[in-house]
Amino acid sequence: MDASHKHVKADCEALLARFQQTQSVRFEVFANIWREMKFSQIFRGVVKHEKRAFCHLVLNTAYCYFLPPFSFQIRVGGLYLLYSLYYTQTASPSEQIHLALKDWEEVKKFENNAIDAQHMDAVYILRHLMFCKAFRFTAMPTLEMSNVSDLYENMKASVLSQMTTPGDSSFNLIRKDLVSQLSGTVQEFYNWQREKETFDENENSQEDTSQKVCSNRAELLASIKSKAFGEAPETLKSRRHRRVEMNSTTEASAALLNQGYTRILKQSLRKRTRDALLLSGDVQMESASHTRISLLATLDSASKKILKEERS
Amino acid sequence: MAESKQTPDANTGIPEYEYIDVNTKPFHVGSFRDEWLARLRPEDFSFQQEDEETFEANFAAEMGLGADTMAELKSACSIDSLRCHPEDEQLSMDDVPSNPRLKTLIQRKRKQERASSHNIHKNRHDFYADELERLTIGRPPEMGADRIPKGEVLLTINIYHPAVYEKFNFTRPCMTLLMTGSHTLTELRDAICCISDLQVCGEFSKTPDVAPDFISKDHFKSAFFFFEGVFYNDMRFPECQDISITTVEWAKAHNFPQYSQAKMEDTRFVDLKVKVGFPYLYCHQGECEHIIIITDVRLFHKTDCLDKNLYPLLTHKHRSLTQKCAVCHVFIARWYTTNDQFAPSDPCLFCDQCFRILHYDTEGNKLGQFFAFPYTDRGAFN
Repeated sequence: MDASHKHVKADCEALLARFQQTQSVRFEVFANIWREMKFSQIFRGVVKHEKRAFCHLVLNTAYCYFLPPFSFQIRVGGLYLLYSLYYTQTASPSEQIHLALKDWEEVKKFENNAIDAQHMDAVYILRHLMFCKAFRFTAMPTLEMSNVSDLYENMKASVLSQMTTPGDSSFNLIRKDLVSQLSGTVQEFYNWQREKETFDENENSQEDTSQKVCSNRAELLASIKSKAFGEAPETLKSRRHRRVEMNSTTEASAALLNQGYTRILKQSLRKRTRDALLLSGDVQMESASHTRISLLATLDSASKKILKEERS
Repeated sequence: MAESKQTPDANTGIPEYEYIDVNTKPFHVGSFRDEWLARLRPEDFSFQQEDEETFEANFAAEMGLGADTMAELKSACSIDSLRCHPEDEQLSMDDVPSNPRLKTLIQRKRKQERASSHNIHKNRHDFYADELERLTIGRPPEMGADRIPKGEVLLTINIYHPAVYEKFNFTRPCMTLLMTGSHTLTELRDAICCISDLQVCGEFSKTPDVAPDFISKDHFKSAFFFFEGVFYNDMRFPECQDISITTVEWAKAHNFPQYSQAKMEDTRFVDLKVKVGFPYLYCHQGECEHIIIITDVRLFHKTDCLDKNLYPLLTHKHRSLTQKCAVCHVFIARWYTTNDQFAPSDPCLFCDQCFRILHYDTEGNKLGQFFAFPYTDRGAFN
């Protein structure tokens, strides 16, 4: 419905632009353009349950051209447009034109201008619309359910802060605590990581912390994989397509691995693998954990490419 | 649409935009109605259709036009001149014409082609979209006391799901009601269907037959509306408590603007001062909160449903998926069991029959260990 709104607006503006070019305010001129553009076809092809909503949309779109600040000629064109759309619409019973209270004065002024200028067709058409009760006298014509979300956010926030009793206002406090707790925890973790990775002085030190972390993980996974190769592999479905990715990264991680090896003594590969396995209790669970694989992917752009090809 | 005027309107009856296309400033509904009635002639808002010849004669007289001029004018402005196809050609309005020139049609055609290629099944929302409308639009106007008096105000109110249903927080109203200006707020309250009203609290595995006597609606009757800094409490029944008093007192203690209270049953819509398009609150059961938005306030029109007995009128209802029994997958679930040794999952849903067959013997004695709670499905109002 939103997409069609701008198309409807474009069509109305096209029609009114042509009307403006004729420099006339006669209804016959307008009707000629209407016929030439076959404008009543705008209602064709609308699904049954959307008919009323569409007619409402079209009438509302045309309504704005009937009001200031548009020029008198455009306003006359807008009036003719409203009249034509009202009578060619397909909703049954007809959808009305919503006229806002604040616009009433403008409409009356317009009518008086037209009478003074003796534009009888404009006056006749306006009076005819009133006679046929084509107008609904409303507060605001365009308010449907749109834009609830922002208002709702603000409202809910204000209402929540108002709604909670003194006991429950701690609800807000908890939130604040949570944020500080989180930041404290993250800070701790970061520091711990930094300590753990001080032995990596080569290009790893220039990489992000996350990459250092994932190189460690890559080592672990590589070790697991090498172990898995030794045994009869029973792959998870989730690992099947990721296998390609891992193969290509083992070179990269092996390179890092080697450099890591030459530096500092670490626990033996066997021990580390065993610890890792014991921790999770399941090889496949360990390797299929979401974070690690996605971090692996960031290591190597080639693997990303392969993944993209796999997916497409 | 039209820009909002820069000068603040001293007259509280005329709605102005506060934020364009979003909501208006607060205005008094009764004054709004009076403003409109002052500006219109009685024929403009009556439900009777004027006679066309009278209209033309009056017009000609007022403008000083002769009969010929009048006839010429009439034919010039006739809607026949708007017809875009030959008179005898019968066109189906359901098809998009070939070679469309209008942008709307081009886009619509594209959308149609895309939709047909996807083979999207009609969903239940579209299917029942106009079901409610069909019941009411175009009904012949009633005569006599049942008829809405002319000049009455009609409000369109959207009621949203409680915020705990994250899926529908921002989009769909749960229901849309039409109310007249002379309705009280209690009538709105009674018309709002929320399943938390039907919920039963408590564990009933030992006494499954007694459950229906305990609906929350009967136990917790207090509720309030919050419009523009005023809490409207429901005080009709002796059990009703003023549940907004805690908020009002808290606000006093915490430097908030003063809130006042009023009675729901004494307030009619014409007495309210509201913003159109702005969310307000309805709270019941102590903690079940619904956002309420008044989307439109207008005068009654002859095409509206004019039968007073049908209001508050439901025009839109969101239809939820219902949870079915885990056993038969046919009936809607009414029992919710936990720690159930017979159930395939924890928790598990059963319809009434399957529940009794599985958990009780022929004498009605409880078999095995389980906890059973009566379950009200969200789709209960479908």
